[in-house]
Amino acid sequence: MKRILRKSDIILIAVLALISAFTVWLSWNAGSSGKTVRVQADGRTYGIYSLSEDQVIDIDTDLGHNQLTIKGGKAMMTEASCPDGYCMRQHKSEGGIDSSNETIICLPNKVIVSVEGGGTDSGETVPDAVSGSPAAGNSGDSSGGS
Amino acid sequence: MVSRGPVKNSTAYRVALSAVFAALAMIFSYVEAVLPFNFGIPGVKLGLSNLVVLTALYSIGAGYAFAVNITRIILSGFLFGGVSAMLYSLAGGLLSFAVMYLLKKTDIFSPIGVSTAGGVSHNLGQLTVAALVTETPKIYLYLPVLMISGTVTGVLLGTAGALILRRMGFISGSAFTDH
Repeated sequence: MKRILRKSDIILIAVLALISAFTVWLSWNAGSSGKTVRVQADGRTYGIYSLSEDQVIDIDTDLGHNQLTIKGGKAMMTEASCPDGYCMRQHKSEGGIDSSNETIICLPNKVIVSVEGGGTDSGETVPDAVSGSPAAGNSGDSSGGS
Repeated sequence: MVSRGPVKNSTAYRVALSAVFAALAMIFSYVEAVLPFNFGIPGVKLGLSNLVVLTALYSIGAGYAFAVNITRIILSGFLFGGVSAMLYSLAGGLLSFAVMYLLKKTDIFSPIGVSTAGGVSHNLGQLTVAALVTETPKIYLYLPVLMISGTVTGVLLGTAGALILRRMGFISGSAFTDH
């Protein structure tokens, strides 16, 4: 008598298990790629940048110019065309922002920089980010503990 | 001449069995609404009523099974879940039904394989609707959990379904080993 469970069933289940494992690996990887900063200008997302990578970002809109510097896992506003320059002083004493939901806000230029992530951000948004190796790793996270 | 037992390909038999299946699916939905088998993971369900749909697909044919499927989704949606939950069930239920129907048609897989593919596609359908409705593609981070749970529940329900179908005489074969 033929048995119910066929070889093709086992293959199908194995394939699905492999795909499952792959999605686990994918999401685990997305989670460990570290924190990012989201730059919003005039209500729209200007870009998302990894904190684990030192970089200088120029934010130019109709309202003015800002320069955000990411260094050593922290983000700081280093240049701004706004009249008061408050944004450059925000979080200056800590050397920048690096914890989730910390923000730097430049009201005159309508620029908002906020820290996101440590896992909640998926890969889809990464193409906005600049160059670089997304797999560059977790080193950026370690500086967050201070 | 009196025929003993049901005439399995008669319309009356199929209609009657459809009603029984729909009622059974409602009871399973109710049981799961009261006692969720979610293994402690949010969003995971055993989906006992899918066992009914699988059994229906193999016993009374795709047309009647489809009617059972739609009936159970709409009724249990109104009774237990609410209309928005019904939308999710509908997406999962229709996709998994389509997948199970097509895989059954190929005749490559047993009910166990068919059910496993159905379980996974059910969760994929729900997740897609959730991503569209909430406009958060991030929700796909939940994909691994739903892939694994879909596979596991699909195997469990498929095994139960295969045993039921064998007992009912709709599929042949010894339990799981060659003799």
